[in-house]
Amino acid sequence: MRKSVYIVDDDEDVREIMLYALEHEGYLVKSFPNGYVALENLKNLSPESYPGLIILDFHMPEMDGVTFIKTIKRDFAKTLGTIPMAISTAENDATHTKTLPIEVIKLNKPMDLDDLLKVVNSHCH
Amino acid sequence: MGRLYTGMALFVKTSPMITFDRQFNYLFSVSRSHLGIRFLVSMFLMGVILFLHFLFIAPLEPITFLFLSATIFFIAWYYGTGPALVCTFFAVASIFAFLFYYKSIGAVTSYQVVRVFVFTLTTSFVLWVIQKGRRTQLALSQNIYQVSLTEERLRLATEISKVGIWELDLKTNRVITNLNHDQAFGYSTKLSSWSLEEFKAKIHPEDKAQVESTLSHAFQMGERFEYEFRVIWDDGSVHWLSAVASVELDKARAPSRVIGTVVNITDKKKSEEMLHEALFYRDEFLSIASHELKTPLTSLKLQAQMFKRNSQKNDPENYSPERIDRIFEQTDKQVSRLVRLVDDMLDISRIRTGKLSISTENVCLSDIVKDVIERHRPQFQEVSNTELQISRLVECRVKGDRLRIEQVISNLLNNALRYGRGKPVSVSVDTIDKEARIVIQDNGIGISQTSQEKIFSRFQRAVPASEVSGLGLGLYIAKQIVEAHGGQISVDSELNRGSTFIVSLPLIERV
Repeated sequence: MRKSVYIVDDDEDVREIMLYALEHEGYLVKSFPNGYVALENLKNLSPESYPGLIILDFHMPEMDGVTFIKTIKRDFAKTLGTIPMAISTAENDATHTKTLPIEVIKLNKPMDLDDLLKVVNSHCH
Repeated sequence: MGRLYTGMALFVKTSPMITFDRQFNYLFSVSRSHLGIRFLVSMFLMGVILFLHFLFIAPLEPITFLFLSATIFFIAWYYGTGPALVCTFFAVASIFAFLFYYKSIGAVTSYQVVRVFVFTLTTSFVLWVIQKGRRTQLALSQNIYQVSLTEERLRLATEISKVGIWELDLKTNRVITNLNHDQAFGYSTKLSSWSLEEFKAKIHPEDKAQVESTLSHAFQMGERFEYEFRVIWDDGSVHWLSAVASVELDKARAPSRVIGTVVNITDKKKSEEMLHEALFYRDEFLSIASHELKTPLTSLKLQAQMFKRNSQKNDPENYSPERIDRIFEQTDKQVSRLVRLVDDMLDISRIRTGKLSISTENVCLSDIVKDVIERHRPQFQEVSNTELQISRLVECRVKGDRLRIEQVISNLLNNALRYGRGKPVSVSVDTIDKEARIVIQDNGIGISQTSQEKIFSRFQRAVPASEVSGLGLGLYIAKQIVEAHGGQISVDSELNRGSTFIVSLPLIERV
């Protein structure tokens, strides 16, 4: 059974195109404009309905990508912390992403469709 | 004062010598004069003395020889051994001549000859001794002269370079300083001397411990070391000083003196601070800029790749009019975003190099405002149907660049929408005296007092960078444009109440 994908990005155009691309591949996609609302949603999920992958943007209002990941790994290590996460960063952000755990997947910005699909396929199929 | 500098130059107390050198200078000038002059002068002197000798004093009594000897020694000391030797022979010849021709040949007894011989010998011996002494004195005074030259150069160099010099006597714990040193500590005139405690009292509390431990470490090791620390002047201002100190040990290998320099490096530190700040802002800007630029690029890229992928899969829906429409609508939108960002960055670099040029035409301000508002209306409607209204519109003309004025108003409207919380935004155009005034008011989140001072600066935002997209340059550029028109831009705002931006431009006429 395919798992769902979560997209967390403050830019609505990016959300729209990613939604379109992944839904076209047959995935169930949920999108959120920032880390805060995404977390609120995740908190209410039961483990069976966890998404197979969460794709985050770096800069976002309310709660950015790095803070989101760190919060989950710290406060929800055993539960939400087990969900695979990917973060999309522009090159200059390397200094910030160095502090993230190794298992977090790093996607280059601008995102390549094939890279994106490969990552999603390997986690949600 | 001389002591301080000489101490620096040689670590030797030489002040008595310095004064001696001054006296010696006079002698120097005569004894350095041409040898021929010296001979003539001494010969003349000798002649006078001999004349007096033969005239007034019993010519062959012992005491007269002493008189002649004294003259010769005087000549030797002041005019040199050469002239003195010549005068000796001159004197001997005169004596024999006197004996032969004046007294009679019988007066020249062996006793007289021996006496004259002894006179010649002792005189020569004493001349030899004097010569040695004179050479030594010459060398010594030359050394002293060199030292005083060095001392003078050192004093000049420290005065010009504003280097402060200090010398701490560890037995008395008193410090002798020069004027530059005391100026570095905030005094306009030189203090007579410092105590070590007075010096320590001036150090900034945060640096005190470090300085004290550095000093005591050096006292034990007898090393030379450098250190930087802050001092607080009497007027409360804080300054950075850089010091070098060298510890001298006495014969028992215990520290006896510390000699050092101190320089005021506050300017250098301030430049460093400014550099760090500039680099920090630049790095922040680059980080934000790269993110902002890459976001629309992400959309474009995924868009294009999706289309290609669907095409390869022979998806019929790919070429449907709705799909095609949507794709190009998005493309246009993202490209426009990129164009705006690039324009912002170009504006910034133009402003920095002073090349922001505005054309000066006679434009109708009210028309410009109306146009910009209509252009933004769809955008406002999209975001919770925010109300955008013109509360007052006085027809007026200003001198300026139509496109640039539009840029300013557009930027302000964008901000009003972004921070407006969906509440109504009102715009008015009015004239007051010689000014045309545009007022854009929103009822949104407002701007804090501290942020109000910063929002017109480069790369600054009243709200953290991650809160909002955009380069944070809009208001900075707007300010540059308004001021290039000879106008002013200001803000009146309160947190959670809303903000009112006021742009005033020189008015040409009210229509």
